[in-house]
Amino acid sequence: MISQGIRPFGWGVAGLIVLSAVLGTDVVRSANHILFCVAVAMLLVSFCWIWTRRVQFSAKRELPEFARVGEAFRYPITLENQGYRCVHSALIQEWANDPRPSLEQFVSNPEPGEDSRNIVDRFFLYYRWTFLCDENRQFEPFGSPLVESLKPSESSELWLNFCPTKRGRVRLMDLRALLPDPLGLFQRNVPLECEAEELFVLPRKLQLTTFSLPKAPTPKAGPELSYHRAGVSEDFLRLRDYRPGDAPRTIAWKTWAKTGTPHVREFESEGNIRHGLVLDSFAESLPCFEAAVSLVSTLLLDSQEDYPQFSNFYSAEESFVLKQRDQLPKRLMRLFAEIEPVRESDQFELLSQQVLRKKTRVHSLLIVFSHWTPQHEEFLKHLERAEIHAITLVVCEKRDKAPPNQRVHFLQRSQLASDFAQFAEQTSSLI
Amino acid sequence: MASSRQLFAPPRYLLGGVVAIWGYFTEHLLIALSIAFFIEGSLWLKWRWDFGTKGYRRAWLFSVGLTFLGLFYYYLNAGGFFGLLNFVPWLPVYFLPLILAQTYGRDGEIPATAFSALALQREKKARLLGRSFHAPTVHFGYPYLAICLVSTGHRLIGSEQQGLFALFLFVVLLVSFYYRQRRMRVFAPAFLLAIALVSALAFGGTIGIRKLYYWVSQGRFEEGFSTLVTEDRQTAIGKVMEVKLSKRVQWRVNFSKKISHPLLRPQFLMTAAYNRYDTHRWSLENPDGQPSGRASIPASTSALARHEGEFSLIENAFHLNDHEQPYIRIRGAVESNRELLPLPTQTGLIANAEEIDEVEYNLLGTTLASNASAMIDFRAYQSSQDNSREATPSSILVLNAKDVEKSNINYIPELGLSQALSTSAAELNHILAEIVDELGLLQMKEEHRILAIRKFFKEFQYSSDLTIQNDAQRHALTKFLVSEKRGHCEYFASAGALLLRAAGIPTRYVVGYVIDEKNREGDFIVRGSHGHAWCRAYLGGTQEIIESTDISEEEGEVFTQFSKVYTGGQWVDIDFTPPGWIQAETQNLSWTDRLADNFQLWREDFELWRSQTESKSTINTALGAVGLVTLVFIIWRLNQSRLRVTESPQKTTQPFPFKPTQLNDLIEKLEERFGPRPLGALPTEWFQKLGFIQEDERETVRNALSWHERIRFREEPLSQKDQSEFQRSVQDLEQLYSQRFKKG
Repeated sequence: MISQGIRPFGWGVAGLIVLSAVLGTDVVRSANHILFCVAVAMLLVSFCWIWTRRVQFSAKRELPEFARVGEAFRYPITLENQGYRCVHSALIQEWANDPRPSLEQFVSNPEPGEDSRNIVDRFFLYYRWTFLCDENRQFEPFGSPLVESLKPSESSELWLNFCPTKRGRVRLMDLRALLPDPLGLFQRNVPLECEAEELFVLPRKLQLTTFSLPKAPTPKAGPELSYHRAGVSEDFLRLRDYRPGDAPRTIAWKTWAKTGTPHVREFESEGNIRHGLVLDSFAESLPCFEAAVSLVSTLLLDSQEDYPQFSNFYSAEESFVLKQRDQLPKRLMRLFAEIEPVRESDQFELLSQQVLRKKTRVHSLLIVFSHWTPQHEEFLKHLERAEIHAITLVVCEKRDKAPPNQRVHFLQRSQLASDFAQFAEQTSSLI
Repeated sequence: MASSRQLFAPPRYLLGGVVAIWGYFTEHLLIALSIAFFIEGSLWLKWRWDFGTKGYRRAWLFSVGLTFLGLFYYYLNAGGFFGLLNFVPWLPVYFLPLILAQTYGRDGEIPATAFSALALQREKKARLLGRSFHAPTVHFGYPYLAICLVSTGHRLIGSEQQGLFALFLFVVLLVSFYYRQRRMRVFAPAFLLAIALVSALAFGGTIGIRKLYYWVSQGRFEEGFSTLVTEDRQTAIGKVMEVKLSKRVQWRVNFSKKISHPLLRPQFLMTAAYNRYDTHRWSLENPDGQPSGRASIPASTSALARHEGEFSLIENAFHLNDHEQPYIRIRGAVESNRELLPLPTQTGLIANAEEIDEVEYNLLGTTLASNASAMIDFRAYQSSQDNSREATPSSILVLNAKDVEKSNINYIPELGLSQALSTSAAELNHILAEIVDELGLLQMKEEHRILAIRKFFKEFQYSSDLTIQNDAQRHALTKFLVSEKRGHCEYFASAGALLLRAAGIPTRYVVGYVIDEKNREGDFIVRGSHGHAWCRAYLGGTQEIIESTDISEEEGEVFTQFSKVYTGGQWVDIDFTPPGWIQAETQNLSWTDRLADNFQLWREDFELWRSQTESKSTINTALGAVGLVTLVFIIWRLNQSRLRVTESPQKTTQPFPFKPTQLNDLIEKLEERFGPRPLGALPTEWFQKLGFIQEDERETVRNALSWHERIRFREEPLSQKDQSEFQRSVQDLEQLYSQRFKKG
């Protein structure tokens, strides 16, 4: 695009040309024609200059595996000048993807709150376009490190700033060198020889208040009751290195044999109160779903001491047993990065299966919906019939409906943190 | 790597310097120095204001408001597009609120949303919906610099001033780009070469543009003809176009009772007269000067002034307004510093013209008002004396004894035909002679010659749609006379003047207005479309050749001055344009034209009222009071919200509001000991893994991390107590790891 080749100063000089051309038509009474000539000369020299600029760099990124939306980080790249000329003043930048939405995306994804816009906006749908462009923009390149000078065959390490703006799997495949002219009006951008790499971008972290989940009512005796065995039962928690004083019966002999270092098995008592977290991906509004994913990932990834510890996580695709608060399976983190909303309500069956299959492991569930429909209500009733105690959070655009019961809480997306604080206050009063 | 703010901000003192130079060129040095002081004062004054988007928007709207006020002021003063442009030199003042807001704002840059109501609405909506919205920021430094440069160069006349401006521009360019070059680490030889190329191209371009301008406006590459309307007039003869004259009211005319009768009142208001015809151009030739070559007659003869607002154009004319003499009152807007005055041809005295500083006129009767107010209102008293300001046809030759016989002593500018030495001009003169012969004009009396020429033009038609094209073989005026026989008033006036001259009657070409339209209030309205060209012939005069008694001697040769002068006659307006042309020009006035007329007349009346001394004091008091109240209010508001900063704020390149804590420092230390934290690894995970933290030790890690997380996104600083607690937790953690490190 032309605009990518013009630097802000170039736009300024172009504006000056127009202004001086309008005001400097009378060369006898005004000296603005001189200003016009200077500005045009600057543009001409700069424009011709950029065609003389060449660069032949190879680059290698060292990307982290995960990043989070809205959190800037730096990563190193190693540049090598493979050309035969010394390169001066080159800016290095990751080239962002084209954020323009496809026709299908444009047609089927209205901007939240679009119905409240005026008739002109609703007719031209410009705001929907900008909204979807914002949504599709995976990252914002900000700050471009400057290569002051790099001689042929020399290499240099630079640090690139990076800030993801959208959750998902980001594939960085277009690293470019921006070569401005000496006056800084134009720039030539040259793609660099660099292997494409991937990065999983986790959802945005929310600032949530601490909260507690109420204890589940005592389960009734029955065929599905999990506490049907006599004695103390323990679940395997993890392996760790042997420390002096550990009971010999806990030593994992096979692991010792495989690794050569002594390891012990750690167990967790089944009697501990355990909570499960459920994320439903049946969503109508994309922003609400994103907010729901952010909420769930914040609860798991950034769990503070005061948060309840979730031992299980359920989604329609997969369920996870969480052994340790601070060590989440990478598969789960990738799931947070890649989970997509679904439009069909039949995934409730899958979700039910996932939850009911391992229901004996949890005492209560915190369910996060991004939509509220009769199917959702039916799903909750189904869990209730299976005697699973659940508290539900529904992320919605507007809290215009009254929750059906005390265990369902609507959280407005635009004020998620404050609504969550309200929910935390309500649940603490129940405890 | 320089921050974006550093890159887009001009170097220190550059803006102040440019503003000062602006003041020097525009002769507002005191104002400029005050502005420069305020702008550069931010380097010493440590007060800053947290304006936010709302504050910047107010500053922007204030600037826009000032600009519109300026436009309105100049619209009232001068009117017209070129009058409006007088606001340009004041642009640095109009945009002062915005640059001051940026200079003294805590952010140092202006959010782009401040400039657009739509963008602001978009931001509000996004925030309402809980979406992130990153408004781009704009540094107004260089745009303001550009505004100052444009304002400086806007009214610079003369090669000396323009040369100085070019030099100033070069210095600004060099300083700005040298500063940027240092920031961007541009290769120095490349930068110098680029600057040299720009300078060379700009120099060549300036010369080229000047030549192009002269070629387009004057048909030659060199500056030759004056562009002053008093000295040259380029006609539309030979151009294929439609003549469209403005329907806006130019002047309002009232006649005193004694000359209000249609037969008594003058029909024309003359603005300028010319006596030399070149190809399509009428110009001035000094009747007292050499016939060869072109000698202009500047309107430099100042009128005598007895009282303020009284200017005598002829000798002993101040008595004309002593009693109730007939007069013509003329009102209208003045668009330039030297405005041509529309006057009846016999005007001897201009009175009640307090808005005019000086009146000048030339020997052909063209009269200029210098340094007049935006609106003028004066009375023109007519004189019946013969010693009119218009010189009689004459020529003066200084010849030596040898040349007397062979010289063309009969040369009179008012009798000269087309002067260009081309085939087409010769053909035109030949055609004129043929027509004169055909009509037998030379054998007729003067009055009959005029009637015969009028009769000759009867078969011609008036048309503002010009289709006659000039070419090298045939002059457009020849085509008009021979074949086309249709054209607008410039054709009739030019052809008529040349025919009269060919018939031996000294004639000038005159432009001005016809007084024809009367409005409901009884004022005669003179519109742009009433603009007209006609002939002014000297009738009844006799010629004589006078040999001066003054004899000069130069290099042994004796020179004598000979004068050929017409005396005893009088100048008479003769219009050959077919009657009815004015109806064709002024018919079909739409309701918008009427509305514009009413608004313009109201504006002019208001401006006249404003220019009265008693009204001026009322207006100045009111404006001063409003300005003072506004200023006091702004100062009061600013005083309430000022912040004191210890150092100039530097915006980081970090677009997201998280800040490193003491834990980050610890992480760096730990990385030195335990190796780098894996990229992307969450701090929690990494801390746990480091040195096998035991269950009982995790509390220390969690405590420090919990504080770290809380502080990172917090804008307000921690309280003393919290700060010490966080510090303690980090120290505990450091101690824990140092023990573990010692244990190995």
